[in-house]
Amino acid sequence: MTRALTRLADGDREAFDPVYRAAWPAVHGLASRMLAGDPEAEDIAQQALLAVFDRASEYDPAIGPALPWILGIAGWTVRSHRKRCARRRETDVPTGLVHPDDLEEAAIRRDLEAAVRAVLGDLSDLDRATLHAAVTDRPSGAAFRKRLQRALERLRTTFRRRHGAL
Amino acid sequence: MERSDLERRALRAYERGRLRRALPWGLWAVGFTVAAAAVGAPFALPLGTLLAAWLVGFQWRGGELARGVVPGLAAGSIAFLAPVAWACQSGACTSACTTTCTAMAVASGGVGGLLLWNRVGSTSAVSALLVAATAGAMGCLALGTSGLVGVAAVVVAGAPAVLRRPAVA
Repeated sequence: MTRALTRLADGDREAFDPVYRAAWPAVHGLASRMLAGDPEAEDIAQQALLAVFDRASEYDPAIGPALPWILGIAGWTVRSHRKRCARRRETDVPTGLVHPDDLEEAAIRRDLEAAVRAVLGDLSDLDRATLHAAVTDRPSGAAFRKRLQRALERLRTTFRRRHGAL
Repeated sequence: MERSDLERRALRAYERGRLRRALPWGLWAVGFTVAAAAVGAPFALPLGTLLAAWLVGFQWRGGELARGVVPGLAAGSIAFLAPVAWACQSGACTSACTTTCTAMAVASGGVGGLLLWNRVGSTSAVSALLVAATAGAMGCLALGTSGLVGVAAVVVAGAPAVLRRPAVA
């Protein structure tokens, strides 16, 4: 392999076939392992092979054997693809949910809403109507304020009973 | 044997990579052309283009032909610079070339040819001679058309190298 790549680097086109036959399985294997499960693995393996041949004339046996040199170029191509994919995923996510902290916050909010719905389900119809009116209609008057205070007290008690103190 | 699509693309990538590496050698031709034009040598542009084609072509092809490029450039530089330097120093940059002009061109061509004879093998000598003769012609023409005798001297002095077995591994 090293001898064939040295000849190819020197311009001997007859060395192309032996280098191709030795390089392709190695590059394909490396890309398959590094991109396991990636539907683009085959394309990237081919890109990596083309990158190897694009730079084949730069090979100098003094820098070491051919296989590590080939796998170094192929590995760099595969890593570049992975970085591109990671950047693409980041830009594809809607604004506000990009950062992992934001994703965690959204999950917490969902859990909290589910907990509140469950607690509201334990309240009476009158308490639920009072709380709903306080949010939507905002009625005034002493009678409504007293009814609202009692509804909120029962809401807190039920929440503590189900989930403990906040 | 029929090549697969990937194999053909790999071969094209290889040739493209070689060409990309060969192209910077054309800058030598640009340097020679600018210098030749600066001293008023005729045919500087066509000869410069020919020199660029030799340099890039041989480097792209590789092997023995590529190995002749550096000795060819070294020999051609002597054949190019000596007449140009002499002509500029003496102020004789005209087509009315004297016997001294011709002697200078022949001498520098001979030195370039001897350099090739010592440094390269047979196949390399072909490319080296072509490069040296073209580069030398650009300088020798500054002394008039009789300066081309200097180019002939490069070819004659370098010719024995073509007949020798390759000396460079």
